[in-house]
Amino acid sequence: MTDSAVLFWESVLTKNIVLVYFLGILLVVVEANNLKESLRKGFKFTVALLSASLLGLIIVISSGLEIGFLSLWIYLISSLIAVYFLQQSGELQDEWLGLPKMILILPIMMGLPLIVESRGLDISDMIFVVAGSSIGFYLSFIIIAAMKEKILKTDANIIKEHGPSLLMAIGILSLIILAFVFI
Amino acid sequence: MIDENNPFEYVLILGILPLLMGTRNLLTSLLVTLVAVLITIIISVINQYFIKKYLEGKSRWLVLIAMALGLSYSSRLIIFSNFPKIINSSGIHITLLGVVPLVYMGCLEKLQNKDFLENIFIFIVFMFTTALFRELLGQGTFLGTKIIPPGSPPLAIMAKPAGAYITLSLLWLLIKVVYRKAEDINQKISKKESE
Repeated sequence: MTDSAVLFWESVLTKNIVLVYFLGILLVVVEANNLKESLRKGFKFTVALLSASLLGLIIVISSGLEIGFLSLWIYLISSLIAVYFLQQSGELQDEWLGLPKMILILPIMMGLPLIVESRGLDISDMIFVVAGSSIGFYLSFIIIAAMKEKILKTDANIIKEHGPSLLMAIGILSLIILAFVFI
Repeated sequence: MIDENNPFEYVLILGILPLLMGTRNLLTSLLVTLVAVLITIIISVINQYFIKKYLEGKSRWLVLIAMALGLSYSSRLIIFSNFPKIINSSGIHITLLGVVPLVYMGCLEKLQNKDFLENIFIFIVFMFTTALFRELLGQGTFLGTKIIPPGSPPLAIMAKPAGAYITLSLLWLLIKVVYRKAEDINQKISKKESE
């Protein structure tokens, strides 16, 4: 496998943005409700994540800014643009526990370009990592939605407490992906 | 998904990101807790005395997010000069504390001042409990000092991301069980009193 392919698969599996870096976990836990709905919803979030990260990184690289304070604001602005389009498409509009739902997606949208930037890759490798991480996010989103759906349908009392059960299942999933370390 | 009346569950879900990423060991958890609590208090005060009076709706949240991010980035720079190793492993997560829902807890309309301080205390306890559990089991150390005798290997999974999820899920389950038991006891007592 070429280096770029390794970076791509690593970002999908062993360096998964949700299961390993924990970013976007709250978004997944709150928004992924059932498999059918999450296929569509997850796709929208993935496209937004991919576009926001690429937009932010392209602006930072082309402007020649060093890693630092200014790049953080560029990532925030690119994330807010993506959030705007997500809201136009009907997502993240209402509130969650009194907070605007856009706060749920900001950690992952800002975190992905920050992670990519800190790894000091060249532009083509950055694109592979961003694409891999976005696909990794989509896979996590639909797998967790499927697990949540199953947990909600169970009759067992202890599993019905689906918050802890879901987190435990995510932990096991996070353990499983480590098995792909041979990549 | 969560019982909003249960403050333990409420804090756990709002602060799930720092609870997962900042609990690999006690020192990291100490710094992450300090930064998160300071930002939460500062943002709450600024919101209450300045922002709330002049801004409403989306613009208020955008200003608060920008302020919290500025504070978290400044904290990252301060920590970097003193604990560069921690920044190498958790620097991005410390920067992202500015967009964690927990730091906006004090800006919520329905939250009273007393509840706000209580929730901060709960968050601190959660952070240290999770970090202590993960460091002891995952690395066999306490604040970096080896305490497990040689020859007995630590449970490496606890130091990995999976360990954070598993520890937090167990803590969450414990909270639910204990809270429900306490509620049952309270109901029984109030029933007896009314009889």
